[in-house]
Amino acid sequence: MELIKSLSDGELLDAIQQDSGLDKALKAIYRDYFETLSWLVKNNSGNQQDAEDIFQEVLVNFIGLVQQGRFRGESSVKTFLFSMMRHTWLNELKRRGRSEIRELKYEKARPQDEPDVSELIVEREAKKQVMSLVEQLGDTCKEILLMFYYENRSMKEILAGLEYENEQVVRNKKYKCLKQLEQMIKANPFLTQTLKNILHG
Amino acid sequence: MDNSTQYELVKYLDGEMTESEKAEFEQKLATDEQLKMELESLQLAKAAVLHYGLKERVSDVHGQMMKELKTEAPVKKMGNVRRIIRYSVAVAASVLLVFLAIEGYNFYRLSPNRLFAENYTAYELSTTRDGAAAPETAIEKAYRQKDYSVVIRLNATSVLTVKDVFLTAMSYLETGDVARAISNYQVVLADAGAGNNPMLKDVTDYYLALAFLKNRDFDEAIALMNAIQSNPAHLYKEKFSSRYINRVKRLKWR
Repeated sequence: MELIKSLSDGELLDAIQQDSGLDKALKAIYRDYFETLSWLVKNNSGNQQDAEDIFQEVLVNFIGLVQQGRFRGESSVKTFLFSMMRHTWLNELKRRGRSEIRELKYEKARPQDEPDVSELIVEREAKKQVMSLVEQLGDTCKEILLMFYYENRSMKEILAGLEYENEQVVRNKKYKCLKQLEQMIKANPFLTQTLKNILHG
Repeated sequence: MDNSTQYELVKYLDGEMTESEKAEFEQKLATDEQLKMELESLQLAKAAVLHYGLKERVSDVHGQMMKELKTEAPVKKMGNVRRIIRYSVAVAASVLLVFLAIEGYNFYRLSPNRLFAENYTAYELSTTRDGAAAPETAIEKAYRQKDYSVVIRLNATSVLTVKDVFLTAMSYLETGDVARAISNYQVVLADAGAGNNPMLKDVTDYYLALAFLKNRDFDEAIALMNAIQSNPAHLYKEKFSSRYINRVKRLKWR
């Protein structure tokens, strides 16, 4: 088993901003906070699967905020994650339509110094649609776009893993895939707005 | 939008322009609203890819960490049998702990004087005398009156019977002079032990064993107590149980 040390908030944020340290940061967050934060869900009408789903969602949001420089460190990482977890789970309870009593209980229990993260949390539904659109591109498009944009691979590296004649063919394919995705997004104004929120905050 | 502009847009989006190309393109962007909207659309598509990539990465780490965390802290589901065994062991351990605590406390409180006091019964002279019996000696009289100092004084000045010597030993024991009590008991045994007076021998054995105990002569005390206990005909056999003798043995460890 890999030995994972606890990281200070500063080390954690540095690791998230450096792509090479992201896995290390994620593992440290799981080690330090998963049990505590999953309890928040499991103790409020949720089950283990709910807790895992919400925690993943919170992490995606948190990392996005840190990488965009929108986490300003006004609260500790733990407090911030706690707040995001609460809001995300509350939104999910609302969506499930059994929130009234729980919401009341939840809001009463909210600490006064807890940061308000409600505006930072991107709609779950919209994010699901983003995932679905990328899936619809097909495996090849998805692979090329992820390797190029998310993994920062060069065209030469991408070519090595795919059966194309040369880099230019891969470049053209990448362009077509991106345009295809762009058109799919354009066709969904709600999704367009959500992505604008992700992009610009 | 022509192919050349499309090519430029993607090149800008991907950060592949030189500084001069970038500056020139940004001038165009500032004046061309259509171009700006096209760029924003492509940026949204890129943001969707980045979001997808991040979600996948978190999901990968999540899978790894769930395995790891579950390995570290497995949820143990006990079966009924296992639960019963566990509780039984816990109860047994608790009982053992209480037992050890009591034994420890008893061991702490154990002392020769305490054991002596538990077993000791003062010797009483018989009050029923028939006419044929020898007259009561001065020592017997003084002992009956519990005048132990007189008994001891008479011992030094009188011609004594073996019973007088026994009563003198008893008087020394009563007054706390254990060493002299032991000497006198041993004199009695030298005489009565030859089969002259079995009843006096048995009672002397009993008090001598207790005198040894009080005098911290544990080996002698234990040997004599064992001899008394193992002799079915001994009059004081019941006075020394195995438990009592074991407690005397424990005194040696203190």
